[in-house]
Amino acid sequence: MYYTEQTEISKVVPLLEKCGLSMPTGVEYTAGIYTDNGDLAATGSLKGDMIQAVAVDPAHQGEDLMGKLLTHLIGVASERGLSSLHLFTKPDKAVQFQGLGLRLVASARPYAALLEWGTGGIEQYTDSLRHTAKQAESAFMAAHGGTVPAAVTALVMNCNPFTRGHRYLVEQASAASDIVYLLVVEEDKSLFSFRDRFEMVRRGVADLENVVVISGGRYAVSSLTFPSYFTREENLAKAHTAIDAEIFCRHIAPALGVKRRFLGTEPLSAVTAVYNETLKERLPRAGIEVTELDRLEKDGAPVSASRVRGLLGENLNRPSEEVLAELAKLLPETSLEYMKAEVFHD
Amino acid sequence: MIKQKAHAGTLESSDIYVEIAPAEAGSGIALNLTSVVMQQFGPEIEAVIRETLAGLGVEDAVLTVSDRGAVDCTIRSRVETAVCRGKGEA
Repeated sequence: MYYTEQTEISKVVPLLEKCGLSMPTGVEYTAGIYTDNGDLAATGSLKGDMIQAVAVDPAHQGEDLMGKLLTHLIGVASERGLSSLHLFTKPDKAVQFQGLGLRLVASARPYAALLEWGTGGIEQYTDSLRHTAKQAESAFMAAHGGTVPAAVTALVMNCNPFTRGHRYLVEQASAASDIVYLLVVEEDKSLFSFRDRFEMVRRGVADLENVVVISGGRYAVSSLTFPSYFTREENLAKAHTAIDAEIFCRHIAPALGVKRRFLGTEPLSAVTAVYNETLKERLPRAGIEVTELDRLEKDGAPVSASRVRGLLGENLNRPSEEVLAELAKLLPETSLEYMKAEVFHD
Repeated sequence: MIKQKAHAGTLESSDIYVEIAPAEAGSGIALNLTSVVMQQFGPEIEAVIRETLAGLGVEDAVLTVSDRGAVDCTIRSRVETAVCRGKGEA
Protein backbone atom coordinates (compact mmCIF):
# COMPACT_ATOMS: atom_id res chain seq x y z
CA MET A 1 0.00 0.00 0.00
CA TYR A 2 1.32 3.43 -0.85
CA TYR A 3 0.20 6.99 -1.28
CA THR A 4 0.92 9.21 -4.18
CA GLU A 5 0.62 12.90 -4.83
CA GLN A 6 0.07 11.98 -8.50
CA THR A 7 -3.25 10.19 -8.04
CA GLU A 8 -4.57 9.17 -11.44
CA ILE A 9 -7.97 10.74 -12.05
CA SER A 10 -8.67 8.00 -14.58
CA LYS A 11 -8.70 5.56 -11.67
CA VAL A 12 -10.41 7.87 -9.16
CA VAL A 13 -13.57 8.40 -11.22
CA PRO A 14 -14.46 4.68 -11.59
CA LEU A 15 -13.85 4.11 -7.87
CA LEU A 16 -16.15 7.00 -6.94
CA GLU A 17 -18.80 5.69 -9.33
CA LYS A 18 -18.54 2.25 -7.77
CA CYS A 19 -19.39 3.94 -4.45
CA GLY A 20 -22.29 5.96 -5.88
CA LEU A 21 -20.40 9.27 -6.11
CA SER A 22 -19.13 11.42 -8.94
CA MET A 23 -15.99 13.53 -9.20
CA PRO A 24 -16.54 16.94 -7.58
CA THR A 25 -15.47 20.06 -9.43
CA GLY A 26 -12.64 22.31 -8.35
CA VAL A 27 -10.87 20.04 -5.86
CA GLU A 28 -7.41 21.26 -4.88
CA TYR A 29 -5.84 18.01 -3.77
CA THR A 30 -6.62 14.34 -4.34
CA ALA A 31 -4.96 11.46 -2.49
CA GLY A 32 -5.06 7.78 -3.36
CA ILE A 33 -4.07 4.60 -1.58
CA TYR A 34 -2.89 1.92 -4.00
CA THR A 35 -2.45 -1.82 -3.60
CA ASP A 36 0.95 -3.31 -4.39
CA ASN A 37 -0.20 -4.25 -7.88
CA GLY A 38 -1.30 -0.69 -8.65
CA ASP A 39 -5.06 -0.80 -8.08
CA LEU A 40 -6.62 2.23 -6.45
CA ALA A 41 -8.12 1.03 -3.15
CA ALA A 42 -9.16 4.34 -1.57
CA THR A 43 -9.36 8.01 -2.49
CA GLY A 44 -10.26 11.36 -0.98
CA SER A 45 -9.93 15.04 -1.91
CA LEU A 46 -9.64 18.47 -0.38
CA LYS A 47 -11.45 21.59 -1.58
CA GLY A 48 -10.93 24.57 0.68
CA ASP A 49 -11.89 23.40 4.15
CA MET A 50 -14.01 20.53 2.81
CA ILE A 51 -13.04 16.88 2.63
CA GLN A 52 -14.79 15.56 -0.48
CA ALA A 53 -15.14 12.47 -2.63
CA VAL A 54 -13.98 10.00 0.00
CA ALA A 55 -14.35 6.39 -1.09
CA VAL A 56 -12.93 3.00 -0.18
CA ASP A 57 -13.25 0.13 -2.68
CA PRO A 58 -15.76 -2.37 -1.21
CA ALA A 59 -13.17 -5.12 -1.84
CA HIS A 60 -10.82 -3.36 0.59
CA GLN A 61 -13.25 -2.49 3.34
CA GLY A 62 -12.31 -3.60 6.85
CA GLU A 63 -8.63 -2.81 6.22
CA ASP A 64 -8.82 0.53 8.03
CA LEU A 65 -8.00 2.44 4.84
CA MET A 66 -10.38 5.24 5.85
CA GLY A 67 -8.24 5.92 8.93
CA LYS A 68 -5.09 6.05 6.78
CA LEU A 69 -6.75 8.27 4.21
CA LEU A 70 -8.16 10.79 6.67
CA THR A 71 -4.88 10.96 8.59
CA HIS A 72 -3.18 11.89 5.34
CA LEU A 73 -5.82 14.45 4.27
CA ILE A 74 -5.93 16.08 7.71
CA GLY A 75 -2.13 16.32 7.72
CA VAL A 76 -2.09 17.96 4.27
CA ALA A 77 -4.86 20.39 5.31
CA SER A 78 -2.94 21.22 8.48
CA GLU A 79 0.21 22.02 6.46
CA ARG A 80 -1.97 24.34 4.39
CA GLY A 81 -2.92 26.22 7.55
CA LEU A 82 -6.48 24.92 7.93
CA SER A 83 -7.55 24.41 11.54
CA SER A 84 -10.99 22.97 10.83
CA LEU A 85 -12.37 20.68 8.14
CA HIS A 86 -15.89 19.70 7.11
CA LEU A 87 -17.25 16.60 5.48
CA PHE A 88 -20.67 15.68 4.09
CA THR A 89 -21.76 12.08 3.96
CA LYS A 90 -24.89 9.97 3.94
CA PRO A 91 -26.59 9.87 7.38
CA ASP A 92 -25.98 6.12 7.75
CA LYS A 93 -22.23 6.56 7.14
CA ALA A 94 -21.85 9.30 9.74
CA VAL A 95 -21.13 6.85 12.55
CA GLN A 96 -18.09 5.50 10.69
CA PHE A 97 -16.55 8.99 10.57
CA GLN A 98 -17.52 9.67 14.18
CA GLY A 99 -15.50 6.58 15.03
CA LEU A 100 -12.48 8.30 13.48
CA GLY A 101 -12.92 11.32 15.72
CA LEU A 102 -14.98 13.64 13.55
CA ARG A 103 -17.85 15.37 15.32
CA LEU A 104 -21.41 15.24 13.99
CA VAL A 105 -22.76 18.75 13.39
CA ALA A 106 -26.15 17.73 12.01
CA SER A 107 -27.85 14.85 10.31
CA ALA A 108 -30.76 15.43 7.92
CA ARG A 109 -32.30 12.09 7.06
CA PRO A 110 -32.49 10.76 4.42
CA TYR A 111 -30.21 13.18 2.59
CA ALA A 112 -26.96 14.07 4.29
CA ALA A 113 -24.95 14.47 7.46
CA LEU A 114 -22.35 17.15 8.17
CA LEU A 115 -19.29 16.33 10.25
CA GLU A 116 -16.32 18.44 11.26
CA TRP A 117 -12.78 18.12 12.52
CA GLY A 118 -10.53 20.46 14.46
CA THR A 119 -10.92 23.69 16.35
CA GLY A 120 -13.15 26.68 15.67
CA GLY A 121 -16.17 24.59 14.76
CA ILE A 122 -19.84 24.84 15.56
CA GLU A 123 -19.22 25.00 19.31
CA GLN A 124 -17.10 28.12 19.01
CA TYR A 125 -19.81 29.74 16.88
CA THR A 126 -22.62 28.84 19.28
CA ASP A 127 -20.52 30.13 22.21
CA SER A 128 -20.38 33.51 20.48
CA LEU A 129 -24.15 33.34 19.83
CA ARG A 130 -24.82 32.62 23.52
CA HIS A 131 -22.69 35.61 24.44
CA THR A 132 -24.65 37.85 22.04
CA ALA A 133 -27.97 36.50 23.36
CA LYS A 134 -26.98 37.20 26.97
CA GLN A 135 -26.22 40.83 26.14
CA ALA A 136 -29.45 41.26 24.16
CA GLU A 137 -31.51 39.76 26.99
CA SER A 138 -29.87 42.00 29.59
CA ALA A 139 -30.51 45.07 27.44
CA PHE A 140 -34.15 44.08 27.00
CA MET A 141 -34.64 43.50 30.72
CA ALA A 142 -32.98 46.78 31.63
CA ALA A 143 -35.32 48.62 29.26
CA HIS A 144 -38.46 46.77 30.42
CA GLY A 145 -38.22 46.85 34.20
CA GLY A 146 -36.76 43.36 34.52
CA THR A 147 -39.28 41.59 32.27
CA VAL A 148 -37.77 38.51 30.62
CA PRO A 149 -38.06 38.59 26.79
CA ALA A 150 -40.70 36.09 25.64
CA ALA A 151 -41.04 36.48 21.87
CA VAL A 152 -37.48 35.81 20.71
CA THR A 153 -37.33 35.35 16.96
CA ALA A 154 -34.90 35.10 14.06
CA LEU A 155 -34.58 36.01 10.40
CA VAL A 156 -31.82 34.68 8.14
CA MET A 157 -31.07 36.82 5.11
CA ASN A 158 -28.38 37.28 2.48
CA CYS A 159 -29.33 40.91 1.71
CA ASN A 160 -27.43 41.19 -1.56
CA PRO A 161 -28.01 44.13 -1.15
CA PHE A 162 -30.35 45.28 1.68
CA THR A 163 -33.56 46.53 0.00
CA ARG A 164 -36.80 48.18 1.06
CA GLY A 165 -38.23 44.66 0.76
CA HIS A 166 -35.85 43.40 3.47
CA ARG A 167 -36.62 46.43 5.58
CA TYR A 168 -40.34 45.67 5.29
CA LEU A 169 -39.80 42.09 6.52
CA VAL A 170 -37.62 43.21 9.42
CA GLU A 171 -40.20 45.83 10.46
CA GLN A 172 -42.94 43.18 10.60
CA ALA A 173 -40.68 40.83 12.59
CA SER A 174 -39.65 43.64 14.92
CA ALA A 175 -43.26 44.61 15.65
CA ALA A 176 -44.13 41.00 16.55
CA SER A 177 -41.08 40.28 18.76
CA ASP A 178 -39.31 41.23 21.97
CA ILE A 179 -35.96 40.46 20.36
CA VAL A 180 -35.24 39.69 16.68
CA TYR A 181 -31.90 38.17 15.69
CA LEU A 182 -31.13 39.01 12.10
CA LEU A 183 -28.51 36.58 10.81
CA VAL A 184 -26.69 37.80 7.72
CA VAL A 185 -25.31 35.01 5.53
CA GLU A 186 -21.56 35.20 5.77
CA GLU A 187 -20.48 33.28 2.71
CA ASP A 188 -18.73 35.59 0.29
CA LYS A 189 -20.17 34.43 -3.01
CA SER A 190 -22.53 37.30 -3.69
CA LEU A 191 -22.21 40.48 -5.75
CA PHE A 192 -21.77 42.47 -2.55
CA SER A 193 -19.13 41.32 -0.07
CA PHE A 194 -20.18 40.12 3.38
CA ARG A 195 -18.69 43.26 4.90
CA ASP A 196 -20.77 45.50 2.64
CA ARG A 197 -23.96 43.47 3.08
CA PHE A 198 -23.54 43.39 6.86
CA GLU A 199 -22.90 47.12 7.02
CA MET A 200 -25.96 47.95 4.88
CA VAL A 201 -28.15 45.77 7.11
CA ARG A 202 -26.72 47.29 10.28
CA ARG A 203 -27.35 50.84 9.08
CA GLY A 204 -30.72 49.91 7.59
CA VAL A 205 -32.18 48.64 10.88
CA ALA A 206 -30.27 50.84 13.35
CA ASP A 207 -33.51 52.62 14.38
CA LEU A 208 -35.22 49.32 15.34
CA GLU A 209 -34.09 48.84 18.91
CA ASN A 210 -35.07 45.21 19.32
CA VAL A 211 -33.25 44.00 16.19
CA VAL A 212 -29.81 42.47 16.74
CA VAL A 213 -27.74 41.98 13.57
CA ILE A 214 -25.28 39.09 13.70
CA SER A 215 -23.11 37.13 11.32
CA GLY A 216 -24.56 33.84 10.12
CA GLY A 217 -21.10 32.32 10.52
CA ARG A 218 -20.05 29.31 8.53
CA TYR A 219 -23.32 27.55 9.22
CA ALA A 220 -26.27 29.59 8.00
CA VAL A 221 -27.14 28.89 4.35
CA SER A 222 -23.90 27.86 2.78
CA SER A 223 -25.53 26.54 -0.36
CA LEU A 224 -22.51 26.99 -2.53
CA THR A 225 -20.22 24.82 -0.47
CA PHE A 226 -22.71 22.00 -0.50
CA PRO A 227 -21.15 19.36 -2.72
CA SER A 228 -23.32 18.73 -5.73
CA TYR A 229 -21.44 15.57 -6.64
CA PHE A 230 -22.82 13.93 -3.59
CA THR A 231 -26.49 13.65 -4.35
CA ARG A 232 -28.71 13.70 -7.40
CA GLU A 233 -29.50 17.09 -8.90
CA GLU A 234 -33.21 17.03 -8.02
CA ASN A 235 -32.44 16.30 -4.39
CA LEU A 236 -29.67 18.86 -4.12
CA ALA A 237 -31.75 21.82 -2.98
CA LYS A 238 -33.69 19.60 -0.58
CA ALA A 239 -30.55 18.03 0.88
CA HIS A 240 -28.81 21.32 1.42
CA THR A 241 -31.79 23.05 2.94
CA ALA A 242 -32.48 20.06 5.18
CA ILE A 243 -28.95 20.28 6.63
CA ASP A 244 -29.35 24.01 7.03
CA ALA A 245 -32.66 23.51 8.86
CA GLU A 246 -31.15 20.87 11.18
CA ILE A 247 -28.20 23.12 12.06
CA PHE A 248 -30.62 25.91 12.84
CA CYS A 249 -32.76 23.64 15.07
CA ARG A 250 -29.94 21.86 16.80
CA HIS A 251 -27.40 24.65 17.31
CA ILE A 252 -28.39 28.19 16.34
CA ALA A 253 -31.93 28.42 17.77
CA PRO A 254 -31.03 26.85 21.16
CA ALA A 255 -27.97 29.12 21.54
CA LEU A 256 -30.05 32.24 20.89
CA GLY A 257 -33.20 31.03 22.65
CA VAL A 258 -35.17 31.51 19.43
CA LYS A 259 -38.73 30.14 19.35
CA ARG A 260 -39.93 31.46 16.01
CA ARG A 261 -38.35 32.03 12.63
CA PHE A 262 -39.71 34.45 10.06
CA LEU A 263 -39.45 33.77 6.34
CA GLY A 264 -40.17 35.98 3.39
CA THR A 265 -42.50 34.40 0.83
CA GLU A 266 -40.64 33.86 -2.40
CA PRO A 267 -42.73 34.06 -5.53
CA LEU A 268 -39.79 34.29 -7.92
CA SER A 269 -37.20 31.67 -6.95
CA ALA A 270 -37.89 27.94 -7.08
CA VAL A 271 -34.87 27.21 -4.83
CA THR A 272 -36.13 29.59 -2.14
CA ALA A 273 -39.57 28.00 -2.39
CA VAL A 274 -38.03 24.56 -1.67
CA TYR A 275 -36.03 26.12 1.15
CA ASN A 276 -39.15 27.57 2.78
CA GLU A 277 -41.03 24.26 2.42
CA THR A 278 -38.17 22.42 4.12
CA LEU A 279 -38.01 24.89 6.99
CA LYS A 280 -41.78 24.68 7.48
CA GLU A 281 -41.50 20.91 7.66
CA ARG A 282 -38.46 20.57 9.95
CA LEU A 283 -38.50 23.53 12.36
CA PRO A 284 -41.89 22.82 13.98
CA ARG A 285 -40.64 19.28 14.80
CA ALA A 286 -37.97 20.94 16.93
CA GLY A 287 -40.52 23.21 18.60
CA ILE A 288 -39.75 26.30 16.51
CA GLU A 289 -42.66 28.09 14.88
CA VAL A 290 -42.37 29.30 11.30
CA THR A 291 -44.17 32.41 10.12
CA GLU A 292 -44.15 33.57 6.52
CA LEU A 293 -44.24 37.29 5.88
CA ASP A 294 -45.54 38.93 2.73
CA ARG A 295 -43.14 40.76 0.49
CA LEU A 296 -43.31 44.42 -0.35
CA GLU A 297 -44.43 45.08 -3.92
CA LYS A 298 -43.77 48.05 -6.11
CA ASP A 299 -45.16 48.62 -9.61
CA GLY A 300 -46.76 45.18 -9.54
CA ALA A 301 -43.60 43.17 -8.78
CA PRO A 302 -41.92 42.20 -5.50
CA VAL A 303 -39.13 44.48 -4.33
CA SER A 304 -36.22 42.07 -4.58
CA ALA A 305 -32.47 42.20 -4.42
CA SER A 306 -32.28 40.56 -7.84
CA ARG A 307 -34.18 43.52 -9.36
CA VAL A 308 -31.61 45.82 -7.78
CA ARG A 309 -28.72 43.75 -9.11
CA GLY A 310 -30.31 43.82 -12.56
CA LEU A 311 -30.24 47.62 -12.48
CA LEU A 312 -26.68 47.78 -11.17
CA GLY A 313 -24.90 45.38 -13.51
CA GLU A 314 -22.01 43.18 -12.52
CA ASN A 315 -19.27 45.77 -12.34
CA LEU A 316 -20.86 48.06 -9.77
CA ASN A 317 -19.84 51.12 -11.72
CA ARG A 318 -21.45 54.39 -10.60
CA PRO A 319 -24.99 54.32 -12.11
CA SER A 320 -26.54 57.12 -14.15
CA GLU A 321 -28.96 59.58 -12.51
CA GLU A 322 -31.86 57.74 -14.15
CA VAL A 323 -30.82 54.40 -12.66
CA LEU A 324 -30.20 56.02 -9.29
CA ALA A 325 -33.77 57.31 -9.33
CA GLU A 326 -35.00 53.75 -10.03
CA LEU A 327 -32.76 52.36 -7.29
CA ALA A 328 -34.12 54.87 -4.80
CA LYS A 329 -37.53 53.23 -5.18
CA LEU A 330 -36.13 49.85 -4.23
CA LEU A 331 -33.38 50.67 -1.73
CA PRO A 332 -33.64 52.44 1.62
CA GLU A 333 -31.61 55.63 1.81
CA THR A 334 -29.09 53.94 4.11
CA SER A 335 -28.19 51.31 1.48
CA LEU A 336 -27.98 53.82 -1.36
CA GLU A 337 -25.80 56.22 0.65
CA TYR A 338 -23.53 53.34 1.66
CA MET A 339 -23.12 52.22 -1.95
CA LYS A 340 -22.36 55.75 -3.13
CA ALA A 341 -19.71 56.11 -0.43
CA GLU A 342 -18.18 52.63 -0.32
CA VAL A 343 -19.15 50.45 -3.25
CA PHE A 344 -19.54 52.22 -6.59
CA HIS A 345 -16.42 52.91 -8.57
CA ASP A 346 -16.04 55.48 -11.32
CA MET B 1 6.72 26.73 24.59
CA ILE B 2 4.71 25.48 21.61
CA LYS B 3 5.81 27.65 18.70
CA GLN B 4 3.98 26.08 15.77
CA LYS B 5 1.12 23.80 14.90
CA ALA B 6 2.19 20.17 14.74
CA HIS B 7 0.75 16.68 14.79
CA ALA B 8 1.73 13.08 15.47
CA GLY B 9 0.09 9.68 15.23
CA THR B 10 -2.67 8.45 12.93
CA LEU B 11 -6.41 7.84 12.90
CA GLU B 12 -5.80 4.12 12.45
CA SER B 13 -7.05 1.47 14.86
CA SER B 14 -5.09 1.19 18.15
CA ASP B 15 -3.41 4.52 17.48
CA ILE B 16 -4.10 8.10 18.53
CA TYR B 17 -3.86 11.32 16.48
CA VAL B 18 -2.57 14.32 18.39
CA GLU B 19 -2.60 17.83 16.98
CA ILE B 20 -1.10 20.64 19.01
CA ALA B 21 -1.19 24.40 18.41
CA PRO B 22 0.25 27.39 20.27
CA ALA B 23 -1.88 29.26 22.81
CA GLU B 24 -1.44 32.53 24.69
CA ALA B 25 0.59 32.39 27.89
CA GLY B 26 -1.71 31.78 30.85
CA SER B 27 -4.54 30.33 28.76
CA GLY B 28 -3.82 26.77 29.94
CA ILE B 29 -4.41 23.50 28.10
CA ALA B 30 -7.49 23.38 25.87
CA LEU B 31 -8.09 19.73 25.09
CA ASN B 32 -10.60 18.64 22.50
CA LEU B 33 -10.69 14.84 22.89
CA THR B 34 -12.73 12.22 21.07
CA SER B 35 -12.28 8.50 21.58
CA VAL B 36 -13.97 5.27 20.54
CA VAL B 37 -13.68 4.28 24.19
CA MET B 38 -14.65 7.66 25.61
CA GLN B 39 -17.20 6.26 28.07
CA GLN B 40 -14.91 3.66 29.59
CA PHE B 41 -11.53 5.39 29.39
CA GLY B 42 -12.09 9.07 28.55
CA PRO B 43 -10.92 10.43 31.92
CA GLU B 44 -7.84 8.13 31.96
CA ILE B 45 -6.80 9.15 28.44
CA GLU B 46 -7.18 12.80 29.36
CA ALA B 47 -5.12 12.26 32.52
CA VAL B 48 -2.29 10.57 30.56
CA ILE B 49 -2.25 13.42 28.02
CA ARG B 50 -2.21 16.13 30.70
CA GLU B 51 0.51 14.37 32.73
CA THR B 52 2.67 13.97 29.63
CA LEU B 53 2.25 17.66 28.75
CA ALA B 54 3.07 18.71 32.31
CA GLY B 55 6.16 16.46 32.28
CA LEU B 56 7.35 18.25 29.13
CA GLY B 57 6.70 21.68 30.65
CA VAL B 58 3.84 22.55 28.30
CA GLU B 59 1.45 24.88 30.13
CA ASP B 60 -0.42 26.56 27.28
CA ALA B 61 -1.62 24.80 24.14
CA VAL B 62 -4.68 23.87 22.09
CA LEU B 63 -4.97 20.14 21.37
CA THR B 64 -7.26 18.21 19.07
CA VAL B 65 -6.96 14.53 19.88
CA SER B 66 -8.72 11.56 18.30
CA ASP B 67 -8.14 8.21 19.97
CA ARG B 68 -8.92 4.83 18.47
CA GLY B 69 -8.08 2.66 21.41
CA ALA B 70 -4.38 3.43 21.88
CA VAL B 71 -2.60 2.02 24.95
CA ASP B 72 -0.98 4.43 27.45
CA CYS B 73 2.56 4.15 26.10
CA THR B 74 1.31 4.98 22.60
CA ILE B 75 -0.60 7.98 23.94
CA ARG B 76 2.51 9.24 25.77
CA SER B 77 4.79 8.83 22.79
CA ARG B 78 2.37 10.51 20.36
CA VAL B 79 1.90 13.47 22.70
CA GLU B 80 5.66 13.74 23.22
CA THR B 81 6.34 13.67 19.46
CA ALA B 82 3.68 16.30 18.77
CA VAL B 83 5.15 18.53 21.49
CA CYS B 84 8.72 18.15 20.14
CA ARG B 85 7.52 19.06 16.66
CA GLY B 86 5.49 21.96 18.07
CA LYS B 87 8.58 23.25 19.82
CA GLY B 88 10.53 22.92 16.58
CA GLU B 89 12.83 20.29 18.00
CA ALA B 90 11.94 17.47 15.64
